[in-house]
Amino acid sequence: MSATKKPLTQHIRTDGEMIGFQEYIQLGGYQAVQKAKQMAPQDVTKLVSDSGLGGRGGAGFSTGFKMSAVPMGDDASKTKYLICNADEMEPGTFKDRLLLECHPHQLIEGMMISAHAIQATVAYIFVRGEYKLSIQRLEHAVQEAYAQGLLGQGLEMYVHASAGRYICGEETALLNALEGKRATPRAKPPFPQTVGLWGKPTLVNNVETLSCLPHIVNHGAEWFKSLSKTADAGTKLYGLSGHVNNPGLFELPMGTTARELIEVHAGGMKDGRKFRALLPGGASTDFWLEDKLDVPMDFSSTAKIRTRMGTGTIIILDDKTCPVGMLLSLERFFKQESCGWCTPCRDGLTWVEKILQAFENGEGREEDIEQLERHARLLGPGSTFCALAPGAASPLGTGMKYFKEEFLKHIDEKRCPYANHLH
Amino acid sequence: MPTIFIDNKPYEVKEGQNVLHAAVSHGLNLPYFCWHPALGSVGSCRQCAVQCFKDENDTQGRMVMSCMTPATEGSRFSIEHPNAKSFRADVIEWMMINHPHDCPVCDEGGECHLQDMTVMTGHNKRRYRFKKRTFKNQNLGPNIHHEMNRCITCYRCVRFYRDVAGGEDLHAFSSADNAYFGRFEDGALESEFSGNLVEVCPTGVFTDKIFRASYTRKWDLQTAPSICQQCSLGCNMSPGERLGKIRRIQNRFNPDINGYFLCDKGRFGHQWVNNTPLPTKPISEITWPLNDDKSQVIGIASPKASLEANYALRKLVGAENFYDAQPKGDYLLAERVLEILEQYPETASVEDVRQADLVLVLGEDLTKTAPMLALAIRQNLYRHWQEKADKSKIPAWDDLAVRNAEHELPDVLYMVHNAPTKLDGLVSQRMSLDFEQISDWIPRIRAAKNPVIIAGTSLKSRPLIDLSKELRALAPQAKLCYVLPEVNSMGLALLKPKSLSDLKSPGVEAISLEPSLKSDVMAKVGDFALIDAFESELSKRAAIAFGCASFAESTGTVINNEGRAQRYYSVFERENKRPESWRILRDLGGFSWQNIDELCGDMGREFPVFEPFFAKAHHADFRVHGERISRQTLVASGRTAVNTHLSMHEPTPRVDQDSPLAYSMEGYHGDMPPDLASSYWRPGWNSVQALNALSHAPSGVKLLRRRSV
Ligand SMILES: Cc1cc2nc3c(=O)[nH]c(=O)nc-3n(C[C@H](O)[C@H](O)[C@H](O)COP(=O)(O)O)c2cc1C
Ligand code: SF4
Ligand code: SF4
Ligand code: FES
Repeated sequence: MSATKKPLTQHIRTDGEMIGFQEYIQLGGYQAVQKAKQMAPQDVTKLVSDSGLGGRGGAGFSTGFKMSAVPMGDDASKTKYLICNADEMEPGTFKDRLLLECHPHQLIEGMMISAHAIQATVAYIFVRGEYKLSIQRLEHAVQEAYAQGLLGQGLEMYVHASAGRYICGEETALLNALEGKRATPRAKPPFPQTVGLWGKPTLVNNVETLSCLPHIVNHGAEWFKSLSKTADAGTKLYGLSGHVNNPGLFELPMGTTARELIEVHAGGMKDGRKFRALLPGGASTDFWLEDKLDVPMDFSSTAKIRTRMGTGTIIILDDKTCPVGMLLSLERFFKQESCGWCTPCRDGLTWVEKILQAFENGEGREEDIEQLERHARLLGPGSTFCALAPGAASPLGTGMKYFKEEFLKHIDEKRCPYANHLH
Repeated sequence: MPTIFIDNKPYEVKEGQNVLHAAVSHGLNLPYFCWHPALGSVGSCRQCAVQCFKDENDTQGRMVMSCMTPATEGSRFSIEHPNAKSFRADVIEWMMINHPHDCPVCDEGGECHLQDMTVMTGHNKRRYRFKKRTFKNQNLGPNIHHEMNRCITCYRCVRFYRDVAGGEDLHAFSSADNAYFGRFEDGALESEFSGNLVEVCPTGVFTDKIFRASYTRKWDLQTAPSICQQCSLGCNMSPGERLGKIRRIQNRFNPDINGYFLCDKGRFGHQWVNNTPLPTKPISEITWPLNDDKSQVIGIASPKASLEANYALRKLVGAENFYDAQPKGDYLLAERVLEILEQYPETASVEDVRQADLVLVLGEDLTKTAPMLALAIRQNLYRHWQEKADKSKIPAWDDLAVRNAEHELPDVLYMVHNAPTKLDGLVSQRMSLDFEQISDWIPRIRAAKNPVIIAGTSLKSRPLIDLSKELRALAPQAKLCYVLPEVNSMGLALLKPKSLSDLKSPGVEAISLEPSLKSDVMAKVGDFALIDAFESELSKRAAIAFGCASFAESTGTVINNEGRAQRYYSVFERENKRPESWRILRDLGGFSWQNIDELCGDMGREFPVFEPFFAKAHHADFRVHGERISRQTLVASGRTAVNTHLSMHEPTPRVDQDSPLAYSMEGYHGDMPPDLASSYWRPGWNSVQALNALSHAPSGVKLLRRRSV
């Protein structure tokens, strides 16, 4: 494959069909895995480390580092698992879907490279249950790979459709779900790399993360780094939804700003709508106001200002949409998707949702604001079992900070002030 | 032993403990829900938060869950730190948003862990102003009542029922704040250990159905330490009485035997004590219908009666006339077992079964014949997982990590059996009852470090008992464990009765003591006198019937299957008190024993094998700080009111002749000798969880010694 600025998406067809096996081969597919297999597993891991690839599941954690935590050598378990996290249930996030539906062989090749690096023997693609088309195309592509003898010789690959809970995307709950247990997260340590699926070493990576691997192997670490505008390497599949003229997905250099995304790629705000705030990466990130529009959207620049990019798929809040209503629908989602394992999330989010619903009904009270603020604090990192609740606390905390006036208006008017607007 | 610091005070803790376990063992008031000493930690409730500091200079620290944090040498924590303290109050507030405020009428009230923890954190004001969610309850059968609205979602029930006890019909359903703990549909819980849910659930979701029908509070129960009468293992338990009836049985912690749990037979099989008592008359008022020369009368002993009663009977009729009523086969097996154990007295306790690296079960369907051994085998396999997980640096208490890490069935359980049993899924090797290939197993048995060989009398198979002996002879490190028919089978065997099948003079007159077998045995004899607690077919046929006190109204000694002597204490006295069997026999024989200690003195001299126990057992004159130990709680209510229709005066409590316990709320209530403790309480800890601060546990005395040749 030729080097390009948009390695992940450049070949994606405009007719919505997937790139089939033959077409993928013609585009130079499955050469990277051959090249990788010539390399020692540790060298592949090192290459990935050097490339600076960070996990696209939302945390940006070094993929190479995660790979290197998998036990290797003769003492290590002979059975190891590689899992592709394709659960993508984060509200506003639809980036993996494109790669699954339209470019499944790129993912399979990436998984084969990763499996070689950690010497995995079995691989699973854990797909969101509602992604029917993805499941169908993945199964087709996996069958093609088996038919061509690419799979089945040292590596088995299965497509597993999730029964459908947001928490199944949390990598340890995913392991439980795959084992047929209740989808509640596991405590870490032990980390999945050492004690994972059925107790065996297991590596879990996001679709987009894994899809980068063939390109890194083909073109090298330095090339991958050069794709980015900032210190974090590669391109990023950014997405935009909300009242912009041209919502959608864009593969752009890592570190592209939200302003560029909105104004250049998404064609600006729709007529009559003004930008008010955005969630940078799905629902479980902080609201950003105007002042963060020029922050490079990558993992480290956002960490520096103590916020997160998450999945990089932006949800825009405009001036005609009620922020309280938006918070309600976000928190209702989190409340419903809480796995019910730990108390702050299970019962705290229930309380949050009830209060937000009261505001929506025009029954909000002043003391409720304090309760919401308290919950945003209490559900933050460190007090719950997994990151779902802190995810729910991010928009809630920043929402309470930025939109307090709106809450007070709901109290004063005893109704939603936006009730007459069309959304 | 590592030292940790909690609020700047040093505490010595057990190696490998988590901080929560260490703290509550020291009696510190640190609230928790999902952790349980026998279930380990999962970190779900978030109630046990403490502040953790890097070193002495770190004043800020960070919040951690104490149950998920190892208590390593020199580590520093604070329970009182405002951050952790207020978080714990927040957690309780969340727990309570859906919890019904019905403590005064709730079955759990007064012994509720949730109540205790709520008071402990100081949560007393409701801020949640929305409707509570409600659930439908299920009918879970005759023993356990279900009240799901009280659930705080700690997951302990399913962790015990499924993970520990291997039950399959109780589930956690749904998720978020709608998580539901119950069966797929209404119906009796299938597990033999379901009753433990009552104690494991920290709130009133699973409650004792028999108990709740009596509208009795924990503090109104009169309790005494007792021994389960349902099988030969001798699990320690604590029956509770109010107004002349046994209302429930709870577990009494004994690490050597039952630990934290009981089986359902033991917990729920007690209502027979409330049957119509067989009345009695003082000996002076009766006409003795049988031969006046008692040596012309045979005594039919009972493996269900106390050692004292059997001994008194033997004394009365003489050793020559002292018979065991069991069918010939059982009798011979019991005799054979004793013979083997006199050669190999190293018997296995239930705890030894939990600790063994190989368990051979020869023919017993343990879930039926000795349920707690079946549970012990499950616990054993888990312990193997814990040990294996330790190698991947997973602490033994990190329950889910252990269960997620380990999937392979440990090579522990070897079974000789034809019929399906509930342990089948755990068996690593199996052989049919003809055990023709038993030699295949011998290398494995020899190689084991601390194997246990379990056999028993339930299949009435002499070859299996003999096999156990042969295997023991091949593996000197092995311990034997025999499952016997009754609670005191071993005690009776040690008194060396003859077999009724060998009776030379059918039609002879007999005295039958608390018979476990009915008329067919009595067909062999002529007229008989009966000593029993309750009315029965036999009591109608007897020439004379004496009503005696049941185990719940008397004090006595039983010897379990491993030869461990243990004492049960009278829980209550009925209005028309009937004497203990041995007192009836004493009066028939004109013996002089004034109390159990005098009888045991004689018995010990005649049977030195019992002496070590009688020397250690608390005599009736034992006192703590000059006081008897109270059977009633300090807050027993209605004490002066229940009888006012009869008399304004509170009846004088009867004096217990046989034990240092008092039928009164007056007496000693503090720390007591473990064999005499029947309920657990500490300030602020009204539920069974109070036992976590217990430093000693009852043990009994193992009696079997190698027969000197
Ligand atoms: C509640 C929750 C949901 C998640 N859902 C997803 C998901 O759908 N897809 C995903 O890749 N990662 C998801 N994650 C992150 C994963 O736990 C994990 O970090 C990721 O799959 C690792 O892959 P990466 O290193 O390639 O990013 C979720 C995390 C949480 C806490
Ligand atoms: S924060 Fe707790 S309740 Fe919420 S999803 Fe994670 S583990 Fe489950
Ligand atoms: S039923 Fe009881 S033990 Fe089970 S989760 Fe609820 S509170 Fe816990
Ligand atoms: S007891 Fe520690 S989290 Fe529940």
